[in-house]
Amino acid sequence: MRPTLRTLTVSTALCATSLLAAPHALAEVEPGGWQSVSPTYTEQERGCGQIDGLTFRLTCSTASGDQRAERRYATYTGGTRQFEGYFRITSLSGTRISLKQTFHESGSGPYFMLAVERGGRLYAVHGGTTLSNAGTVGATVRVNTVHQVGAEHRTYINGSLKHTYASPGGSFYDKFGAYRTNSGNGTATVEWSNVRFWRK
Amino acid sequence: MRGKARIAASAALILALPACSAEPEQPLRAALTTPTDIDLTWRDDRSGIAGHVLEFATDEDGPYTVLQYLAPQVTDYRHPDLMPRTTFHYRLTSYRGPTARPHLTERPDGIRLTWSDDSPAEDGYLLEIRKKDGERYDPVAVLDPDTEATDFVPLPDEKRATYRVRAFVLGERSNVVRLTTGE
Repeated sequence: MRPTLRTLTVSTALCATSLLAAPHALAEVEPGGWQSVSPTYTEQERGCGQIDGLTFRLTCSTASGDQRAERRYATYTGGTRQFEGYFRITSLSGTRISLKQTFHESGSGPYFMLAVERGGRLYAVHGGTTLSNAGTVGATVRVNTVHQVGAEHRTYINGSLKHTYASPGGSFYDKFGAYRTNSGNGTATVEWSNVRFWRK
Repeated sequence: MRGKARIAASAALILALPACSAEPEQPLRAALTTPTDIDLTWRDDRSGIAGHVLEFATDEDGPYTVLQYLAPQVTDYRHPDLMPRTTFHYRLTSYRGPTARPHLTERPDGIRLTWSDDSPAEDGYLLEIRKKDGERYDPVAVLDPDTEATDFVPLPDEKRATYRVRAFVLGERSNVVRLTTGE
């Protein structure tokens, strides 16, 4: 059993609700105009990568070659796209495993890669910026990326803006799962949940 | 941090909340201290409380995400640099439970901690550390129920820390507070 949160008392009335003229709560973030979309995807299992639903495993500690278990979503070429997903690392004997990518298909390839080091540090592979130390084994982490093609790519970890990156134009796609970076190795098991996409 | 100076728009919200959240059954309070920073405060004087779990969601129906497990001495938290014009919901859940001293084994890239799972019905285990010269233990990892071992990679300032594990059981949940960011 996971450490789910049990409720022993019914929460009281929403204090702020009665005081604030808050807009209807929407799941997506940042200002409105978003349209929910369901892009198609393919699964990629390379090397020791294994996919079981939304569970992605690297079953070997091999520090070379193509070791990946990922979902690759459909290409987009313009507008603004939002990705939302929750990941939970359930085991990580290895280190430097990419969890989520925004891939520049018509350009340089892996344009933005969110990865985790053993110990829980979440970082941007290109540049090495630390985004958070929230990626510890057992913790559920929420990721939102907002990509304005040709302008900017923003990454939110647990609701907070942690990374902003200029974006070229061209064609891109989203990937998530578990992927050995050039300096990384498995083993790793990552469970994703509540993955959603929007565009505007 | 963005927009620290532009707090005028949220001033009314800050003023409005305390009058409502001062009731004893609503210990969690929130204030939008800049357009994209929310400060949360709470009070819990009950005995035996071992800490709190602070969670957030942007949909009132969830899913809620844990921001942090917090020691009982901690009574505030800043959720910074938030998504603009987005509604955030927060709730706080207390937990209780005994601690035990784990057995430590040094490894090349960290430490391995082992202990006996003597708790009958825990919601999970917390690994708590007290840094050298620190005054309290803080949770640094949450583990599944029935766990009896974990590997941990200490940060540089955690290498001379003292470790303990807690079999925790979640308790009462607070009121929910809701605020919408600006910009």
